[in-house]
Amino acid sequence: MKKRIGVAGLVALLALGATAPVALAQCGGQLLMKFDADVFAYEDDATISVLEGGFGAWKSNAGSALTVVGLMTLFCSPLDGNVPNLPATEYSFVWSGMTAAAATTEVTYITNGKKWDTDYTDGNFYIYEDSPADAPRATTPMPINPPNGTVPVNFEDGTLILEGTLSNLHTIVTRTNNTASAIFGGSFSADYEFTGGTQYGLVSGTGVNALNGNWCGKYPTGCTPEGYTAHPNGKFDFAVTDVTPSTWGAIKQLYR
Amino acid sequence: MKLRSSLLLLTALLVFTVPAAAQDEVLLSFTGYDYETDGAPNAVYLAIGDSYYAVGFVTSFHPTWLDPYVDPSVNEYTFYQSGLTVDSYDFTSNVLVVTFAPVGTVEYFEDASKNATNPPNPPNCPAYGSNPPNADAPSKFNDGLLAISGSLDNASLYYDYNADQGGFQSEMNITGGAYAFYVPAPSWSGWLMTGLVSPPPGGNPCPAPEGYDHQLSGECRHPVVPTSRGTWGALKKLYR
Repeated sequence: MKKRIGVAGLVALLALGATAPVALAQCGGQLLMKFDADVFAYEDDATISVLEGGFGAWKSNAGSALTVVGLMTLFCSPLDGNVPNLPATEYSFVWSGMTAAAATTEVTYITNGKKWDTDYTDGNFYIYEDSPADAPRATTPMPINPPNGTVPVNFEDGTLILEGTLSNLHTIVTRTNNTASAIFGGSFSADYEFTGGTQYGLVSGTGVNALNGNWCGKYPTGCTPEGYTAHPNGKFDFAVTDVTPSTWGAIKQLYR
Repeated sequence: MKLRSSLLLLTALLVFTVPAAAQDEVLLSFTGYDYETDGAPNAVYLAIGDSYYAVGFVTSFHPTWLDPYVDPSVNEYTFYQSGLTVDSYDFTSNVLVVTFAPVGTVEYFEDASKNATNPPNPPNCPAYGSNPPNADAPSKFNDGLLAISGSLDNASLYYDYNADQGGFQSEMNITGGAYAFYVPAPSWSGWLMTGLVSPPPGGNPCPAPEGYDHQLSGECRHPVVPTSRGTWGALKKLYR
């Protein structure tokens, strides 16, 4: 249907006075930026868990350096002027500078499954606008065993539109049992704060916000190309600070 | 002979159009909120017998299977997950783990009315309403064209209250829908995976809707079924 946008679609857009990206329909709530299928993590000192049923997950050793590379799929207000439009324009990002604060912990999950938890030290994120798009994607596929000729370098070229700090990254990976039919799950949660970039003016002063989502760690097949340790899928939230109802009288009183 | 030739050609096409180096692919990604309803009077979150639901928006589609056929400029793409009832419960060391009885459902809809999006958005907010089920949810998230439907089996959820994050995971098998035939039949089975976090009180520009339990951010991954490598000679031998 998208490829069939014609006069009717154009008229509809003009009628709405729409200059907003098509993806805006998917915004709302806390969502500021979304990333999906084309995001992968890798580490420099991780080991495979016992391959129960032929499958396992990566476990970080203390101090293992984590890098995440990926592509944004959606920007919401006030960043909705950025419209990912592959292969013409990509919005790529890199998380770096984080290391495993301690070795990954492993505990029993449900009856005979596993739950792996990892905490990371603080780091940074960088978001680039680049045209034409040159970063590899899941379907191209991702070149194995990063760092390599295109990872992370093709994710950190172009214009640096936003950068910031990352803190309190915590990842969880679960598997439901110890058989080949086990189902893997996972999540991550972190805090971020913008500090710079050419579009910093749009988000300056927004403080610390949440970065979270799904963290798939199934190995050797499932979501981790060879040499990658996890596949995140998540979002940057943007929570507006609650307002306190007041009166003009009370406000005037502050200045008297 | 003509039949054999046709079969040979068809088989060859099937064999050589599926990627040999199979890797899993993301069918679609989504965000939203989840909620529960009590199966019996109780004050325990996801106690045995409670029902678990989720509603939200699809944020991206598989680049070749679905993306050419959807149009977010004209339609909203929503989902509704239902039919899951807790059948086991454990709460240890501040970590909740529950499993669900089979079988649940997840449905993805294409809807030109955009009544869940509630345009213009902003300044309007998505029509989640408060304390679901309500007049908005799930009804505005499960209307329109049923694009893809799926069954959920072996579903489970954990929530680590120490880290304030959790996850939902399930097997998902496509069962129908208008767009299902765009997905290669060998890839109709897969997983549905979701990261869960507690919603912050604020929003951009919309606050978190009241009465929902968690924000969701996740994806439905479908495995590409590996194919066997062969030779033309071996293939011909099948028909001699």
